[in-house]
Amino acid sequence: MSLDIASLGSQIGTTILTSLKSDSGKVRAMALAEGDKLALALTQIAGLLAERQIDGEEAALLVRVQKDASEVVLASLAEISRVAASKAVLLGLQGVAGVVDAASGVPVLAPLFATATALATAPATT
Amino acid sequence: MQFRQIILALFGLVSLTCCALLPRLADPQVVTLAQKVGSDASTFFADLAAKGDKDCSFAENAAAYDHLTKLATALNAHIAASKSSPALVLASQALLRTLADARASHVAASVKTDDANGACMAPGAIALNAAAIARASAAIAATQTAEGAQ
Repeated sequence: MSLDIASLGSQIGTTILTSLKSDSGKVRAMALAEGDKLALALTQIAGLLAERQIDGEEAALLVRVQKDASEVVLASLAEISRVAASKAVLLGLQGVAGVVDAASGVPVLAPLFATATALATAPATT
Repeated sequence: MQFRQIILALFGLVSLTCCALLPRLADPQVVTLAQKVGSDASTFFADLAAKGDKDCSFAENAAAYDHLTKLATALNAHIAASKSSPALVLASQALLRTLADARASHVAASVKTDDANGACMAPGAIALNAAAIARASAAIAATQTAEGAQ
């Protein structure tokens, strides 16, 4: 199993930043840093899956923990709403789902985010 | 007259400075609780990684998750009551979700005993959850510290 963590991180971070639509240097730095952390975590989760240390259900829960943590980091910035943070992280993860699933050989991320995409792209009511 | 004007000017300056600083003071309770969540989680996960079959299951460690959730709930309630930062209210709610999902992942790992780790979580999974909770709680503490420094 091989994944380019730097490339994954850059892709996730850029997607998060694009979704947040912010010019703030602080937001940019945090979005890119979260991209790197999520990429590392996804790579580790994919590795655990490939080694059969965990199954698909556990992998999905571990991904959710990482997603929650990134939402905490982004939502702690005053200029970002929780809905925007949640949507940005979701889109960032969704963008690399296929690559990570292919590397682990277990389709975990794609189904997880396919069902959540409709919620993320729906207009926010709060 | 001149002396009185200087005193009034100084008083005005001090008042303005205080008014400007007061709303931005870091809330020590938020910093303390967020750091406590991070440090207690770090200790718990380090201990968990060293535990064997008898002690590593979710059932044996549920109290630790209860403790962390109690701390995060207190943090969330304090932030909400102080009405200082809507962003931190949302962040502390997300921290509670992080803990709930970490708990759920331990439950799922313990239910499945037919893998190499038995009722234990995979060491890699423990490390991932520990890192996630550490960065989430640190973000909240850092936000407060940064607001206080402004």
